[in-house]
Amino acid sequence: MRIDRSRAFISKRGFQFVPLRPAPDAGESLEAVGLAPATELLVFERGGHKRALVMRELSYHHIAQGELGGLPYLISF
Amino acid sequence: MIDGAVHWFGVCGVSNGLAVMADEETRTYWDHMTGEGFQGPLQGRELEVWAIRITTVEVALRETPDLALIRSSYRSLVKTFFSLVFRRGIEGRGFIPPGFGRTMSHDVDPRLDALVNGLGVILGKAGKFYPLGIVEKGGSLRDVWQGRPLTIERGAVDGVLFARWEDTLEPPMQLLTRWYGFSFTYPGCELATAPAVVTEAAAHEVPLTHPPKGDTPRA
Repeated sequence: MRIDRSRAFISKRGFQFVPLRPAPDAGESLEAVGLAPATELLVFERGGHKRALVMRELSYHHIAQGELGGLPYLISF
Repeated sequence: MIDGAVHWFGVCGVSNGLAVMADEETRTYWDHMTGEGFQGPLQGRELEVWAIRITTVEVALRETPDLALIRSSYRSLVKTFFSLVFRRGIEGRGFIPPGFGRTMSHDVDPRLDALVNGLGVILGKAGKFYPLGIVEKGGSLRDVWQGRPLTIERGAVDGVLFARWEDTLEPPMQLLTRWYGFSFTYPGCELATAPAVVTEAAAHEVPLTHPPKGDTPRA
């Protein structure tokens, strides 16, 4: 990334948005949650396990970070 | 994970209209699209990156009926605002939040409207952008990029573009992103303007040029 520091806005401390940090291996049945069929998801696989995140929620958090199947992951949006 | 230790990340600011990540451990600033540290103690280091799938609940459940969902329990007015703005998703017009434009180091590459959504395919430092409208839903196109045959498919239901190398069937690194984000990250990137070979359902429908500026669906 080519940064123009005179134009960038970067906080010296803290984060601008609260990152999503679920517990290790967190997840509930997508079908049981009953989201609308057109709801957009980010689907990823780690350690042989798949998980989905709701894109609308990631549009705020920007970052989801945790552990799945014993492996760390970081999803940015 | 960096040198065997997990670092914890968040977004600490905006540059070129894009989120800038930082890790709590070293306060290095990271490019969230490339995974490259660009300022701080870990400047020059690169996180391992891989492509993720974007789709809809309908398609995800068809492919993986027992798929598990990670939900956010965090509540705030700002989060609600972002959710409302994003409600039209990838086929919506999108917007650049107030103030983000002022963080751009120069004008957006004028070859496309800043908010055109598409698939950015990446190999090393090279990138190529395929505007969403270059393939009709349910269609695909073949291209040759970096000397390798590449297939770009667009889901019939979710409308999402997905790239795969034809020789290995592996997906290259790819990002579904707005033009301004991709062109700032990969300046001078290639822009797909005419599919080399159109296949399947889109054979008679795919435009032979990229959509004109501003021709993305409106929110």
